[in-house]
Amino acid sequence: MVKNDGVNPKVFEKALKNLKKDVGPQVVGWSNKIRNGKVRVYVSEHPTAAGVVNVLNVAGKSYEVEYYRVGTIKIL
Amino acid sequence: MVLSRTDRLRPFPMGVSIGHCNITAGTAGCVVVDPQGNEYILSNNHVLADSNKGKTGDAILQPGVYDGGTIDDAVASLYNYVPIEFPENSGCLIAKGIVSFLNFVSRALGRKSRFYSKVDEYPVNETDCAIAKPTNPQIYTCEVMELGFPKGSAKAKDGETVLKSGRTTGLTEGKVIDDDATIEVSYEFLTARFIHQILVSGEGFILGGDSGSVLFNEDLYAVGLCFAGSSDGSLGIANPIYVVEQLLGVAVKT
Repeated sequence: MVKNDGVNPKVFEKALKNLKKDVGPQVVGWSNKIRNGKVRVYVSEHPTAAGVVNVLNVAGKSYEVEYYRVGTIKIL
Repeated sequence: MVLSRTDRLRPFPMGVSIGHCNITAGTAGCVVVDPQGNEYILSNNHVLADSNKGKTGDAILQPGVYDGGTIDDAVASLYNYVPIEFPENSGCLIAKGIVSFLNFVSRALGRKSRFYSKVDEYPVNETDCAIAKPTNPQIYTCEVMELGFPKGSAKAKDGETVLKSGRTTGLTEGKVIDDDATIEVSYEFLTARFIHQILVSGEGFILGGDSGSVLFNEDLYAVGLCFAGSSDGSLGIANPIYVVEQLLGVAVKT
């Protein structure tokens, strides 16, 4: 596990915000740590094949996107 | 006699029903202390401060209204909270000025169309936290129900086992699956974005009414303040406790 893999956090965050725009509102968050070369993206529902982004390109590096279903997150 | 977390308890321990007089009910997390030695009850903004709507001095009830609490059950008063920033609250002054001008012109021309500024960026939050000042020192205890007395605070670590003691699900156990997540949380009609959050996975870990419960590691050091989760109860979201302590200027009482 490598936190951001040396990528500037702001650049990393911008890439994930763009991913959210591409994939859609089912993206409700992401992990700021890269695990085994993968970026974990939290989704309320798994994205459809049409909108899915499987690779995140950031700062000249490519990371596999791992979608992690968490449902709708609300205050309890 | 078995104590119920939703009953009126005197003195009341932590991990039981509490809430602002205008909300349903949440959980009293733990006792915190400021540098002058004053003690407060820690919970969430949305539990003790009615999601930014509360005012200093508002009555805090134990149990919360949903559990039958009335003004006669006031045990504390709202003392301080960290405001939750929603996109709607973060309008740029220039945008507001332009919108006001355009709406003025629209009204002057007798048009019914109105302009709004749309925020394309979420403001970020790190905590949903608040503290309440107890009405007297005999009305509460620092013990967390079924857990005991906190030993201090620490940072959560990926993969560690954590525990929480809450109004609805009681004492439950989960595992930290992320100690640095960015996540969007629904507050009824609004959504707020939180950064640096702790995600905890565990079957039946947390449900509505558990908000405000404190997340402890197995050594009983507080690591987080629970405030949100998935509707099936298997995922909880917590603010890092060290950020809560910094922003409120308090420390977990040991």
